[in-house]
Amino acid sequence: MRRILLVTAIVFTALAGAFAQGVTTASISGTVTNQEGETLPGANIIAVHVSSGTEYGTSTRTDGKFNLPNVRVGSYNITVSFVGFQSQKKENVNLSLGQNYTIDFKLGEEATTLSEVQIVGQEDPVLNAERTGAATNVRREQFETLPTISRNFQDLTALDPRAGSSNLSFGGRSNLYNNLTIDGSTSNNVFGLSATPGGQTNTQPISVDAIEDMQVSIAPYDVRQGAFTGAGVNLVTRSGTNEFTGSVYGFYRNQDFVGKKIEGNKIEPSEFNYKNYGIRLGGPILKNKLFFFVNAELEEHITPAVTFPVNTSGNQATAITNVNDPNYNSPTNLERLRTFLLDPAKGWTFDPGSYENFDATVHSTKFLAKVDWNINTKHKLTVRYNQLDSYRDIPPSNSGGIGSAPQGGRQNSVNAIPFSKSFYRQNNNLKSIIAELNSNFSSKYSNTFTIGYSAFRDFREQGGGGTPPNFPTVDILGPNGSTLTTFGPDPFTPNNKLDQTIIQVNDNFSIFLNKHIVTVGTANEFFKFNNVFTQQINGVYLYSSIDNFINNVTAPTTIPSSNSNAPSQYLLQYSAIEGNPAPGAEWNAAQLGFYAQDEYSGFKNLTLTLGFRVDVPIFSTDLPQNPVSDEMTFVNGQRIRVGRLPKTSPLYSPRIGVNWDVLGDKTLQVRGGTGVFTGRVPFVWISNQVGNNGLLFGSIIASNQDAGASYPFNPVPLTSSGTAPQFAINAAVEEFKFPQVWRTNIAVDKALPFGIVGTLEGIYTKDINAVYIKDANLNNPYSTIEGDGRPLFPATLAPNPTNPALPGRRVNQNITQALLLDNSDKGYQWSLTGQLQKTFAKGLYASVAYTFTEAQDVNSQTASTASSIFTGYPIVESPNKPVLSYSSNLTRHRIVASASYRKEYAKYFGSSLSLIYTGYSGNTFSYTYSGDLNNDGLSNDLIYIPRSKDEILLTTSDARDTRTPDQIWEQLDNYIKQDKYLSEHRGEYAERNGASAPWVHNVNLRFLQDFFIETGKGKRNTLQLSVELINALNLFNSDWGLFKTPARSSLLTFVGYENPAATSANTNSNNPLLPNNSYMNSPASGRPIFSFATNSNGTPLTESFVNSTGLNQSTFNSRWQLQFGIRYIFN
Amino acid sequence: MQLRYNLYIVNVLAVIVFTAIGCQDTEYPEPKPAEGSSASTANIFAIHASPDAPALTFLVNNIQIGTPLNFGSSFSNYVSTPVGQAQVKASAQTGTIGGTIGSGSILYRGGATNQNNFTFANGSFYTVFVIDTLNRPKPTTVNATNPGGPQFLGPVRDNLSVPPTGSAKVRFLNLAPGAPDVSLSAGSVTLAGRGYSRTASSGTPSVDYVAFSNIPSGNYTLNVSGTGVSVTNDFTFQEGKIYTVYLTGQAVKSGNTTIVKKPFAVKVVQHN
Repeated sequence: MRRILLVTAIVFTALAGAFAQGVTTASISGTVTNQEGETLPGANIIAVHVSSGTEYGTSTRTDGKFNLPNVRVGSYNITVSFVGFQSQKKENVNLSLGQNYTIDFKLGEEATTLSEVQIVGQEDPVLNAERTGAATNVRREQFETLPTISRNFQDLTALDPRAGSSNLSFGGRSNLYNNLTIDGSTSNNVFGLSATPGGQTNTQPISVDAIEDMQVSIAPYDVRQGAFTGAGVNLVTRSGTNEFTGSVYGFYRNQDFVGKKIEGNKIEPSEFNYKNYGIRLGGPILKNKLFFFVNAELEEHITPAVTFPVNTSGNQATAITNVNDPNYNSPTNLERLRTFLLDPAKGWTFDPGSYENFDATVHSTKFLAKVDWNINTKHKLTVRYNQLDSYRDIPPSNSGGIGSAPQGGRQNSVNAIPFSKSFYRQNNNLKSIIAELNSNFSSKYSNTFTIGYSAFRDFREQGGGGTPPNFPTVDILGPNGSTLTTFGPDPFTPNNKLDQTIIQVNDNFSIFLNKHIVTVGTANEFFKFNNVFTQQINGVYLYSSIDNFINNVTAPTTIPSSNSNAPSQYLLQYSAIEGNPAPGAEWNAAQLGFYAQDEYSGFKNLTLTLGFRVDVPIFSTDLPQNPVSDEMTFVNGQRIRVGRLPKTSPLYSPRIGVNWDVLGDKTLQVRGGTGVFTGRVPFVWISNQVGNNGLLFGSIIASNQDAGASYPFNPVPLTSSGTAPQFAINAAVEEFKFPQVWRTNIAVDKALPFGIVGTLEGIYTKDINAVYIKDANLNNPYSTIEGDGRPLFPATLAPNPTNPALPGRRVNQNITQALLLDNSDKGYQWSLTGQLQKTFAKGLYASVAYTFTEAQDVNSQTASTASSIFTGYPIVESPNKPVLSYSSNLTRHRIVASASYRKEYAKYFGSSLSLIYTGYSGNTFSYTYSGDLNNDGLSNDLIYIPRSKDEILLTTSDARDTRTPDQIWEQLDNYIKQDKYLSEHRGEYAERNGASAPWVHNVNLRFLQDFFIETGKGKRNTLQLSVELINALNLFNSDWGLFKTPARSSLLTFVGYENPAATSANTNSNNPLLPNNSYMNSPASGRPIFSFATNSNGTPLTESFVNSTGLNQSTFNSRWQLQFGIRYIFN
Repeated sequence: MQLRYNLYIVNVLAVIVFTAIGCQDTEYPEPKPAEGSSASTANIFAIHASPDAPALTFLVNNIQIGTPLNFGSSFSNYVSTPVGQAQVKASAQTGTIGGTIGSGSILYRGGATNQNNFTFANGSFYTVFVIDTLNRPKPTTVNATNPGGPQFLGPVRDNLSVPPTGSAKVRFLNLAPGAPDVSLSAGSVTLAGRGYSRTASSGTPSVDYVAFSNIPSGNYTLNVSGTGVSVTNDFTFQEGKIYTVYLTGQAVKSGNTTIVKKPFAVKVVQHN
């Protein structure tokens, strides 16, 4: 019974949320008075953390108030005593991460009896004088009961009403803008290739079994929190207590536990095998003094790497004439190739691995160890070490890098089977240690000092493990012109690594005065990055058949014009730095922060917090200059200095927070605040500048006869010298600033009848320094498109040498791209949330929240490198013009409801059932043209939505199309009519992310069945069986729980202009730098012509959305999934 | 009283805040769409020279153009086509076009392994020829999209500039499957060595068979000759007109002998 109440009380506390004061602790404050209400200075307060015996003590000040800051989260007994008065005690006070618990004692004189309850403890952390900003807490019990199929704490951040549909995106902002701390140590992937460490290997830095409490804060006006403009996600890990407690656990699932039917269609998922098991143990080393906690976990996910295997009834011929023959990737041919590579008779051997029956593995081990030392009543020290070792086998990349991509890609498909050693194994390893010393010097002064060291080491091995060989990549095409196989390392893998080292030093000092709590402090991070990315450094050969490769090795052709026995393409990017075969970007940065804050409680029923924070980003590396690009002028006269990182100007964040107890009895609370928040930009964008300065690499791109004649196959990678004649540069504008937003929120919390607490909250965020990317080498448009009106860019890279009215697309011919980071002040997000929460008796709690969000930005920052962000961004006028439109991170409507019920019965049994429902608007997306309408070199153009046949010129898609243009228009018109977004916006350009996918309903359930034995003194041994059912609706009916994606967001294909530009080849030998040997003689004119293709089976495209029918783990969102677990809990 | 005042303040604040947060529009410009159909056009002329293909209907983007043609006939005039990429097709008037593979229709396909359409340039004139026989086998190019049977030659670009005074323009093509290289002599004009279905000679420099040559207007006996071929036709070339002369017929090789399945003949088509 007690356990039920304890659990429900904790859970209620957790759900009600709290404000963010510290990121690792909670605090207690209050007043002590006599029966007449007069204050009692000098009264003693002792708070004892029950499970560990940790004691915190202080005494009241002259105004009768006391503070116990920086106390460990957990359950407390608080005792107050004063000479001449009866002591009083409040038991079972539960504190969550970041919560301030206020308690007022009214002492009675000794030897008098008190007739009424004298302790007024604030029961509800929502209706709490300290709370200002928007936040959600998730406690340990919720991690234990709520469903999370991949044992991922990110699944439970979804309980915050403002969470978006992609993990760790909040309030419509990118997940790269959050700050994740674990025990106060910076744990997000600051470099930015993914949002969290382990992001590239699909693993987590920390096990859910190690988590004590988690808090998501969107708008903490407390200036101790910084480094984010999205959300601060703070986790604190478990600590040992006076009792030994522990657990051993295991979870399992495979493809048999995944739904096979999606809307009535049977689509078998791919095979896989997932297991996760671990152990945790915590306890005392010295009772009440020294405690430990350890957790170790292993997780493995195995899938067969080849989903399209070789057909074993092979074809003997080396040239297969029937393209419908399914055997052309016959084992005979791949076996013949493999045997040839292993044969020592040719002078060298190479083991390409195998082409069948091998697995792709995701593997991680996590370890965490924590020691808590109560040095004395004034000082408490915590030291925590955690480690993640993880890897994932990934198929070779489909990208072409500096040259053309291999036709059809390299990854396993019906056409292609790469050898196993061309897969790569991405490793994400993390070691982190942090120490925190909390000191309460006296009733007036307290301090927290933190020092931490984190080392992130990301690197690649070849698939299956081991160093990638010093051997080129070889792509071989099959008879149908698509890639047949690949051997040798993935071209982007040799030397690929990223080391990030972070040292942080924080100190926070608080002074408690009458009516004021003054805090000053500093929070500093020092970063060291070493990023090596040497794409195609071993060289990439392309052959049009296996025979061509074998002949090229044994008897290279002597006929320069012949393509047989010779490669058809050779690519190499070599180091231009003598003595350094693998140049990288090695550089340092720091972000210093200083802050001061006053929390003023002089007004009746009103708490006012005023704070000020200064963040100073520092880039402390001298970069090499590039004299060639320094001399150039870019578009609109701009100059770029790749050797110079952005100026480090301080960023100021003033903040005000208010909490008003309207009626004076904590039943109605208005809270809010306004302030500036400074974030850090993912450092990968700064690293792009260090690594792309045109000085590090030279390149060879040879095709056809040139490749065949000059580059016969050499098993030893070639090198060369001299920098590339053409190169890309990345930089930031001189005045570039880290992102900053101005955020305001206002909320009303009310105690409603039946014990329900209701909250209505609005948050408004305005971008002050939003980030966008532009290409300073992209020339301005020179014309407009007839029949559309948008600007038209030149059709060729090079300008007409004699006619200035026919410019080229590039300002400088030998710069491929000059990407600059720049700031904009456009962009805003606002959200409105309504939330109801209640804890019922008998182990049941429930909450429901609805949030409406609107978010618009100039660039949603959904990719990691500057180049991917620039090229993937849909536009109308120019990729260089920042335009305000809907965010990619926007989830317009969202309902999240959770409920949990636990019952213990028949002495030995306990069952609990928990549920999370999320219903939300589908992802936003953009309707674009396939092809490049405006000649800016990018396939990124938003469509114009035609009102009638006259507004669009349509033609057949290809020679097989059986429709007339009128029939094509009718199909297009019908499609527009049934599409909600398009039908409402005819006559307009489709907006970036203006359309959105349909509503998603998702119910996740978790059922726990406990068998326990009490072993005296309230302790138990428990055997727990668990079943998690994800997307339960789909289990009940295969038409429910569906996740829909756009059928075709590249709705129309741009086929060409009525009058294409006429071009001439450059024969001017005086102008050898013109890389593209042609320029315009006459401009493109006339209207653009489009086609609206049918589906691949010839039927018309009639519906905007299709079900996501993914075959593997990352795309199971329209299927139900089950996971079984077993756990033994000791105490 | 205080309670009501406080509640009032709360309500006012809420209203102010939530109405102050207005919606912003996105920042895209006004489009300037076209208001009518396209003013651009190209022109095409068709000639049916496949000895055993049935009557064919010609279509561009699946809309019929011109008149259906039997073997040996051609359009009487150019017909207009859209500009840019468009599908060029010839379908049997009834049923399918037979042959070894049984293709459904004749299509222009860009490249031996592509399904791309033809691109018409604005204001240009083109001629397309239907050549070959039903029994032409499918090419052995890997992944070939051509199914065999009759196929298009071209469309080729016609230069319809006005001939000099007193002249006509003429060109000569060999469109008889199985015919050897043939030459046309008409008076003083000789157009020599045309291989079957060639639009230009191999060798350097290459002679463009599609380009027109000037010929003084008047009566001529057109003499087409080659190994085993000698046919004539009398024709009057009028001043200022433009003509295509072609060899039609069908021969099949059987071992060392050549069997004439359809007799050779000289045909003349007028373009303007």
